[in-house]
Amino acid sequence: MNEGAAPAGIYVHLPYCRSRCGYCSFVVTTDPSSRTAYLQALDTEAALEAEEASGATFDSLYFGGGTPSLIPPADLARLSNRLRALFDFESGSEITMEANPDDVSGDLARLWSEAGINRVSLGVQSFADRELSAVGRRHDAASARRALSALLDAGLSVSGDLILGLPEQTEESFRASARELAASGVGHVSVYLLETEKSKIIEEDRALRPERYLSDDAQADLWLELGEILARAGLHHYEISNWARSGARARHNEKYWRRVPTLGLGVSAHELWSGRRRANVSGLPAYLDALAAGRRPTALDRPIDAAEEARERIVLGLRLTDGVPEAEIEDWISAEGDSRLAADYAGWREAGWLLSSPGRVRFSERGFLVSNEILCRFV
Amino acid sequence: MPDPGRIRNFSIVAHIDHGKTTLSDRILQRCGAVSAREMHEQMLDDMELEQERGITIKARSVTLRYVAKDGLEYTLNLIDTPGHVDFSYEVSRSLAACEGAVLVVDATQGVEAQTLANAYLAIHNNLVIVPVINKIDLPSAEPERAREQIEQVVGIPADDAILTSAKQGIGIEELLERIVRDVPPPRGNPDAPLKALLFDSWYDPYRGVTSLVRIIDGKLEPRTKIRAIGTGLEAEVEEVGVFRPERETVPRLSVGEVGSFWANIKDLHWTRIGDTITEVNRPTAGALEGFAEAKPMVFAGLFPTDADDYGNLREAMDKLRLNDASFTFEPENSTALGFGFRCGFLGLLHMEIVQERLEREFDLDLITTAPGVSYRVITTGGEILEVANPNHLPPPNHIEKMEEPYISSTIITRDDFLGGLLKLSEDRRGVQKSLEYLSSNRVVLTYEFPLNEVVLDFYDKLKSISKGYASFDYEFIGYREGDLVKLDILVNGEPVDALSLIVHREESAPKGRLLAAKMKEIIPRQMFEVIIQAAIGSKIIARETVSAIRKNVIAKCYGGDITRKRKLLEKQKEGKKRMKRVGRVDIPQEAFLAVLKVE
Ligand SMILES: Nc1nc2c(ncn2[C@@H]2O[C@H](COP(=O)(O)OP(=O)(O)OP(=O)(O)O)[C@@H](O)[C@H]2O)c(=O)[nH]1
Ligand SMILES: C[S@@+](CC[C@H](N)C(=O)[O-])C[C@H]1O[C@@H](n2cnc3c(N)ncnc32)[C@H](O)[C@@H]1O
Ligand code: SF4
Ligand SMILES: [Mg+2]
Repeated sequence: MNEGAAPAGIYVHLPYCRSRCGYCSFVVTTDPSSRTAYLQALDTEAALEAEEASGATFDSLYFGGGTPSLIPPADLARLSNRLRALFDFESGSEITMEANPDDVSGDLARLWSEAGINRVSLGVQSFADRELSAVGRRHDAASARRALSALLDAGLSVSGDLILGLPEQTEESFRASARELAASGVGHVSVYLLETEKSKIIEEDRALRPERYLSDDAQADLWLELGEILARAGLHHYEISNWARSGARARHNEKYWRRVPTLGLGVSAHELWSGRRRANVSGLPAYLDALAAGRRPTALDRPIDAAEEARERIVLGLRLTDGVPEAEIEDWISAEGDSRLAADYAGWREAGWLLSSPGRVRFSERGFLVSNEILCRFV
Repeated sequence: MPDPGRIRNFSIVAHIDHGKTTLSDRILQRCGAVSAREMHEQMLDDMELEQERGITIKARSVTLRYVAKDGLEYTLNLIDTPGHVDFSYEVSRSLAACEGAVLVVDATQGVEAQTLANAYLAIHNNLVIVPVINKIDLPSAEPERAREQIEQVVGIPADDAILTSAKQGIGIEELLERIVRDVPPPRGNPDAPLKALLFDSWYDPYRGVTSLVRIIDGKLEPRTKIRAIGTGLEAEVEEVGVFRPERETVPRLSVGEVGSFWANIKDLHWTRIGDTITEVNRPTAGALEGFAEAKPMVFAGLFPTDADDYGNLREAMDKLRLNDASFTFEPENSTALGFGFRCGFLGLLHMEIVQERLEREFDLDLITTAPGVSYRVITTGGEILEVANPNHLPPPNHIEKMEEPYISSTIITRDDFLGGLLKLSEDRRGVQKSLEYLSSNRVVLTYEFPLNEVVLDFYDKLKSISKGYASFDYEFIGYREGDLVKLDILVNGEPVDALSLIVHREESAPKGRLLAAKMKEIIPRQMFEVIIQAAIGSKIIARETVSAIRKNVIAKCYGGDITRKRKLLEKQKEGKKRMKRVGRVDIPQEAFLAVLKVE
């Protein structure tokens, strides 16, 4: 399938959580009763996908959620073994799972490692208890610290997530969280700006009690400062939200930005395969019903033509700090024939939102912060 | 061919909301023009905008059959007219096609400003007036008071005014009998050359221009070669019809009748409303007087959001003008907005309606600029210029003096609101001419105002001060000298021509400050700082800053889901596309109307 091309990846969505966090808009459920049926359905779906993927090689597998750390380690091991039997994984493949701090223990970390997991992305979010409880996280800073050491002690490659813009967050508390995570020994850090659009509770709260939130301008300043904090700790910025030590980039996630094919298994999972973007249904019952009947649970299936691909290359590629080839952008602009866009493009470079290194164009750090203003012109 | 002696042509006129269209419903029903199944409220308000706003915008005619008590069948041509001041032109052109007018007065409101104005129009047209007092079903109805007011204020006898409830269908039969008895039948010579008044028209995509006429003399039938006297253009009639209210083809239209014709006319300038239609072979001796052309009071620029739509806009305006001769337009070129038109309207509501009709009926997206009035400028060289566009003002050192239009207005109100209304009028530089009690608690005020002080929000203010009870009518009385200046708005140092206004010198500073502040609210943050200034000549009188946007980013594209991100970006792109680019700055459409939103 992708012979000669870069090895592909597989994403597996595990939607179970103990409770729903205030800001979360992912497809999750707090009702564990369907779990056995779900794991069964994943097996079925994997078998269906495997037919299509024959001939392709893979080098990354990602268990995301939801809360994959809620899945009993034996089930996780079985699932991971089954996938490795059905799909052609190279040795040394990256196998990541997301974990919530309250689930992690030294024993579990060892079991995960034995199940073949070699990388864990931990949802730290913040090291300030006030912020954690404000959004209904089940853990406190102390358990996040314990979880981080347990994972590191088990020899796993660890990434930590932080969120900028949480209610109750202050400039000082955010800096402190960033510094602590940078110094914790993790090789990878993801920092997300809180997206409020999809969470009614947070959006309403912010309108009602703005004093609980950092202003957009303050967040922008902090984000720039964050880059410096992480850089001093040896973590290099490589994608809008991601920083890594050398060799510790998220191999799987990079495929999304570079448009390397990935399969997606599970409810609401997305994939890019054979020049098509597909997505599974986002309702759990519909997903289970489809697979119980042996049908693929597809909700969206769209071919990506050359123009669309060029557009995606720009919009996704610009998220990376190495940017995209200058020629790709310029070809796109001239094909578009929009004189205003051409003038604006020159203006963005002049103003330093976009930088050029030989043959390539990329966002500057402050350019990243306003990247939607620019990227939306390329859709 | 109906016997002209058994035709009655009448308009229904009244103040806004007094029940004209509802009364028409009942008449349609009584004459069997609609089945019970088809019947709904305000049948003749068939334009989407009329239904949404609950008001009549266009006069609408319908031909009905009525068998009267004398056992004879009569043909009634009823024209339902709008009541709002901005559409008074619709009333004038309707009256020109009639011998009678049914003057409706709401029994709970009494005589109001447009009752007077429309009654005078009817009197001026030598029409027979049939007074009707409507809404007698309401507990607060005071038909006796209304009767007195008709006699005292309008000055016509009303002792035998018909009491109706259009809502409950009371008094309809009596009204129809009265129309048959009192409205004179049309006079005209059936054998004379064709003479017809063109009083409405619209464009039909299949049949071309549809013209609505009232036959004065002669007849109109297929294959008649006709000429429009005003334009001199000719055509051959293909089909004639009447509206009952659905269009019905008839063999011919004869003396006194009202109906439409198609003559395969594709030229939108073939004729104009008010023109006289005659035969080519046997032209009539003289053209009809027509009716006074509408004088636009308010002017504003209309521009397509997408410059490529300029041609479509021009065509749409030509087509709309067929149907609404009371708005005018001429090409205008703006540095900020590109090619568009400077349009004249009868008022602000009219402006809104024209914009909405253009957008809906012709699928356009338009930007309207600040409405203002037309000034008269006397240059140092002795020239007199009419300036309806602030950017056409000569440089200050070439202006000898400037004059602004004045109106005389009639306000009718209950006296408990008098204090508030007097204050409002004084604030608007009004000069009181008279104050008269119509009855123990109703007052008629006459004021003269600079038109510019009333075009924007005077009507809304009057309504809110009087809780909707006061009514207002006005007419143009001439130009008077004023101390006027041009107020410019600069965005990042560049004057934006489409935002300029002409204002009174003493109001210029507060207005400039309010406008700059409003613009700051409307213009979204951009990637760089945007500075908004208000200036008179080279003097900056206000300054506001829209700080640069710092953060607009989607940090996460989870699990390879790029569709969500894409949708978000598309939404942002759409938002930007609808804005106008001036220099480097994206300005939302509503910014060009910001002046309507400042207090
Ligand atoms: N109670 C009562 N309400 C009435 C009567 N006639 C009309 N109305 C109501 O008055 C309102 C205005 O009626 P319309 O018939 O639209 O008035 P109009 O004079 O055509 O208004 P414009 O065309 O906008 O000037 C509507 O809500 C009608 O239902 C009546 O006899 N009795
Ligand atoms: C799919 S979540 C699941 C991870 C895990 N269940 C947890 O909560 O730690 C992955 C990450 O997305 C981020 N995230 C979730 N909702 C977000 C939001 N509304 N805005 C910004 N980041 C968000 C959090 O940092 C979270 O760790
Ligand atoms: S635990 Fe993670 S996936 Fe579950 S609700 Fe919270 S943020 Fe969402
Ligand atoms: Mg009406």
